[in-house]
Amino acid sequence: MHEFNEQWSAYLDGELSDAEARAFEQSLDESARERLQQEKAVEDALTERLAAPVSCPDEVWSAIKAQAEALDTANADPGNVVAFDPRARRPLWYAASVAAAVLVAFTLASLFQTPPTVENDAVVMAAASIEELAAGSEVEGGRENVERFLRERGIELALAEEDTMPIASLHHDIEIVGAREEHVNGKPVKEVLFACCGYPIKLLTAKRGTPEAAALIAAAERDDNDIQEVREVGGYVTAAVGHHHAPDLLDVFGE
Amino acid sequence: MGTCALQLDILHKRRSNGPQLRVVDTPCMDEFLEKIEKHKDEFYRFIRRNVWDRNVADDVFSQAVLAAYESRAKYTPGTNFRAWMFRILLNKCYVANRETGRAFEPLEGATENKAVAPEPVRDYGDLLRDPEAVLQACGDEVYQAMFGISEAQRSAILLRGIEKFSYQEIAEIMEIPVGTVMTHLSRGRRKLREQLTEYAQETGIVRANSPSRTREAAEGTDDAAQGGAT
Repeated sequence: MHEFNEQWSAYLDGELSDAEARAFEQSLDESARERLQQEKAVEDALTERLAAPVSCPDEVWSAIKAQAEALDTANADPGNVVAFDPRARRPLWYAASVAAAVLVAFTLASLFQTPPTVENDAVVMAAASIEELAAGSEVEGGRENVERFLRERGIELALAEEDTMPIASLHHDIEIVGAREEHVNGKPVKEVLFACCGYPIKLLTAKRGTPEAAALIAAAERDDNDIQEVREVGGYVTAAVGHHHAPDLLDVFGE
Repeated sequence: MGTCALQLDILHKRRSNGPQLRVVDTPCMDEFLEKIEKHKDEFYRFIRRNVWDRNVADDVFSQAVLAAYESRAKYTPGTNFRAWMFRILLNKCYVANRETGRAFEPLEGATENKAVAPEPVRDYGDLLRDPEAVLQACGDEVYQAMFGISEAQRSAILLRGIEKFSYQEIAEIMEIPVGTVMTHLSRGRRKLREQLTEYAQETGIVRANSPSRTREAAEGTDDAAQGGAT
């Protein structure tokens, strides 16, 4: 029996290259060609059913527009937003006096204030591959090993089985590859190292109220981060870091 | 429709170099909502076909549109607006299904690193013989069968079959590799066919290897209603 596999599916979608499509067609015998036509008919009929129009109810759309308007009103803060009118022209003396005032202000500030000493390093996913990430691990991969690693370092968080996490329905090849201790702004944080869809992701965690948690939160305020999301779980601040978008890996942490 | 003002947001952050100025060119409400309104029926249909609990579909749609509206500054004009919106719709569906306990479904088949026993291939010859008649007779079961496949497979089928996105676009919307898109599509489609055939056989719409009975069922005759084996 001919099996409806990825190649058949891609051929029907027109997603094979010309060369691939030709090779596929040439590989089909008579019964397979007939089957292919039948599969196309099934796909067309299914699509027609699924594509039946469904109109958004008028009251739903009206309510959305009203809520959007309310959002706009709530977000507008005349004290913090200055409407810029490019057509306005201001006299040169005005610009000069503003510049002078700013210069004086900064000069006085530098004389009477020492600059804040808050360090604020960006948190980035430096590893380019899962292998590179795993090579930096201080412990063997796997949920139990990493749970033990965290417990030994004062992090009392349980880890969910990778396969049971809700994110597993949309992502694949989710695996805990290790863990290590790293530093953010000079403060030690624990990292759980993940593979997800073939990409490296790391989850940072620190106990709430500690200097390392504050460092993590401060780092998250920067724009030049690879931090995707920060959450609090059971008294711990956790953060997902990486280029592959998978912030829901933070669901792995449980109390 | 009013003109949109260029806004200067003065952000005060705890940095050693003082306050920062960031220029934000934000699409105004009317323009953005008009953009969404052009496609609202297809966005709404996607939610209805993807969310397990139909009673919350209206809420999910509202949340998705408002989420898009609130993050409209992140949309780059000239880029694929539909794809940008569908990513937001998809995430909202995912959250809604998770809250109703339907987002978690068993992993489908083998992955690159894990060996899983191959799924048995079930025959759906009855469907192949007369798909239009069988599907017509199945009625709303066609939509129900979509919830018998995984959310990823369902999303991929909707994005490809109905919304006509390319495999590359679907990969970007779902944030998965193109190969995974292909897997979701082929397995989801096969499973749909199997489920619908099974339903058709169980309810007497078809008897195995009996095309004439399929037409009777589609036409709603007494014979079709009685079902039973011969």
